[in-house]
Amino acid sequence: MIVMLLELKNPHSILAAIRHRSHDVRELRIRNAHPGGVWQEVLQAAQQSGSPVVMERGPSKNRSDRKPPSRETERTGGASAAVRERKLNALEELLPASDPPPESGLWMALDCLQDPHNVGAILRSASFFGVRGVILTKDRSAPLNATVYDISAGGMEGLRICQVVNLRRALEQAKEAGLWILGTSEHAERDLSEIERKRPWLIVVGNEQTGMRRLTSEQCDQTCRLTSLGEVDSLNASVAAGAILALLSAP
Amino acid sequence: MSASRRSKTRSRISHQQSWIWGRHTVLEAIRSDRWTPCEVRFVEDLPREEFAELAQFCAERDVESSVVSSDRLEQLVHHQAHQGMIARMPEYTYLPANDLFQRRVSNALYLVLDSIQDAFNFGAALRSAEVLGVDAVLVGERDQCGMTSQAVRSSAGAVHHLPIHRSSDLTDALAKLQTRDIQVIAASEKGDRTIGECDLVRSTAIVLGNENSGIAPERLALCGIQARIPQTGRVGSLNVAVAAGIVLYEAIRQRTIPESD
Repeated sequence: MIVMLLELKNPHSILAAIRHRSHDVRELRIRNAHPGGVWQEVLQAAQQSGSPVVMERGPSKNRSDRKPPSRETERTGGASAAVRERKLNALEELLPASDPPPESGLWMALDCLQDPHNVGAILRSASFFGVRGVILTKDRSAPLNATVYDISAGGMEGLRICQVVNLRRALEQAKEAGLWILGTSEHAERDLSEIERKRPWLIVVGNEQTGMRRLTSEQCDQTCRLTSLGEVDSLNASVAAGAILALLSAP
Repeated sequence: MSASRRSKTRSRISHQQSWIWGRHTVLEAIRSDRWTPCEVRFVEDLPREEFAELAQFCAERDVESSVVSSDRLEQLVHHQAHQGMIARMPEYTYLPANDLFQRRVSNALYLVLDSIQDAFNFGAALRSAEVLGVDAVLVGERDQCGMTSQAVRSSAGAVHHLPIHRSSDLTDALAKLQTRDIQVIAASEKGDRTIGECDLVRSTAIVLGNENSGIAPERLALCGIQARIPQTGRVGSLNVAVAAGIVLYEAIRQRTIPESD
């Protein structure tokens, strides 16, 4: 079997990988024995878990390495880690047992999202709001590459995630398990604010340009929109997902 | 890396900043009265409607235009996703300070971005601000992502409609907002109350900070209220553009939905 190694650059995604599955962290490459900030936590966690640490020499005099951590953006910092792809879950593992039916909780499905930044940001939000499971489509969808891991800032690690070829079938199974399917569309009749909060919702986010596919939207129990007050029609997919999660998970 | 290669990289980046590309992005720009291209280039085999619109716009507004090969477009923008049209943009026109501080909007809603560095985040936050009806966005100059091609693309055209003010002294700008009876709320993980517990119906400026270091201490000190987005999961944090969208959505929700109970 070919092992896919990802080169992660966000200290938060690396830290989460070490905490969840240190045996998959093949190498931490770092240029400074006392890097400061989050990288210091990464280094300590790697040393405690026995992940190999490689001190890179030479370019440590490079000006970019001496910048304080606050200047680093989410995806760069001069250090990196080679990490194996995580194992995904089976659909059955992330759906609740149907008896008794769930009374609350949030699940998500991404229908052919193509931008790794959106997928990563949605997984990050899903983790923040305690989403129970995320279903991803396999075809015509952003691959789960290093960008997705880094942008998710650890969301790729703690969540239950499965990838399916047939989303329509997966949504049918989710309904059988007692979940309600909430679609999102600019053309929906209901505004998000009209959605009943206390339900075990599975929120479906559609493709950035074309939205949910027809077979997907036919599975939805309800569909909601976020009404635009401006000239631009809609929110970015990950922002819209965040607003929906925030509203439906509000205590 | 040799010095010559480095300078080449730099010139490529500055070059990219003035070109925008892609059907949606370019068409939004030519329809805009606020920030219009100084030059448009496109390929011959565009859909007929788009070709006609581009040609007509360029003739009406005396904008330099040329029909070129697809390869040439790719060379100019270093990107394959140009969809047959690119536009060279002049420097972005920010909203002057006078226009921002002199107008009195009742129940104003401002978004303040304190040193957002990532172009995707900056663009997505501008898009959210426009969609959710924000009156103006304030940004600083230091460590702030500029109006790059990526920011314009991520904004989905919002930069053409939304008043954006760039201040050389963002701390001073915040203080000026406060003297106009606008409450300044910091969106911060360490907030002592949730954003839902704030009254966002009155005139409000919401401040979001840098991706890593958050809001600068001197500006945080000016914020009368620090509020957080309630976390219902066990771990993690939110992307800054997502957080901006959630907070703005809460403001709009409070403003448009009559309280039931």
